[in-house]
Amino acid sequence: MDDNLRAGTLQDVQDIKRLMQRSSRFTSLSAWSFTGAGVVALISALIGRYLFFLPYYRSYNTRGAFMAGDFAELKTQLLVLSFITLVVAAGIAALFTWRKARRQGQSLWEYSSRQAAWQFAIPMAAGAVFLLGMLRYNEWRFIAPGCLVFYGLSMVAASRFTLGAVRWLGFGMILLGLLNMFYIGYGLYFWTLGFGVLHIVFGLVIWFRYERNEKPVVAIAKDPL
Amino acid sequence: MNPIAGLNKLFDNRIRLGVMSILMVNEEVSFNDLKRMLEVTDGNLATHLVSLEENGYLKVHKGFIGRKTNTTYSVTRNGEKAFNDHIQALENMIKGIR
Repeated sequence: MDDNLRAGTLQDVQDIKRLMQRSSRFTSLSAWSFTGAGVVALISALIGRYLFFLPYYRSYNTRGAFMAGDFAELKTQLLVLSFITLVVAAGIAALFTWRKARRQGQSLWEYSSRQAAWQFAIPMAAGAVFLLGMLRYNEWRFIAPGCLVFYGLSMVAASRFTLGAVRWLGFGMILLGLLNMFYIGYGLYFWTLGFGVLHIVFGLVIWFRYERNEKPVVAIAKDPL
Repeated sequence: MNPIAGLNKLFDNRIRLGVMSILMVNEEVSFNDLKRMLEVTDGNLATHLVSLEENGYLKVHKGFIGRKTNTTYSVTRNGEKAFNDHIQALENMIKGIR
């Protein structure tokens, strides 16, 4: 058979494969997005513990009585801190992924990234409303496990449209959140483990596996052809 | 046996093959998204979409986002079969070469 036909056929198959992958998965997700978000979460957990939690308990112990005002202040501090953490972590994650997408000639607004964002947003939005509803009735004990579980569900949902491995990070978050349900009151530790350590470890793992040599990042479970 | 038997003439073209590849793994894709993924001009893409549609391989849905038209495309059962046959033919060719 002549070589032209052979080259053409292989080219066709490669084109098909590339388009199928690129159109259905957002492949420019950067490993540093995860590591960066994890570092922000760790710093925030330290601030929460040493600037807010410990002083609160210190004054509680010296006074020897519960003060509603102090407790309300602590809750406001933590709420503001977690909101700032969310914004900074998301910003850093977006920045690294934006840089990588630019390098690969993709945009953040690809068909696949929009799909991933949608899938991610649904459990996140449901979780946000659910947890805010809990706070309204002064039910704060399940906030930490709830955040972990809903965040994990979002990752599992979005993983179908981006790096398949994100699913495992999602499972990890869900597992930690569920464990936390049986150790209410240790929320900060589970948060630190989930949003901090798990993010960092995951970021490093996918960096070593996919990005170190700048190989294609796509990890499609089954070859579409 | 003719080595290129079973290859679909319509998929000789890169753009038409590309459109089909994208639509095989995505339920519904808009004109603009197709254009960006394939890096082609409006007119060029439109011509190829019409020929795929005329052969019954594509379904066209015309909708609106606000006042802007939003045309989306999805693959028909015929199109799916034609594409799979074409892939099968490509596979046979590659096997034949070895």
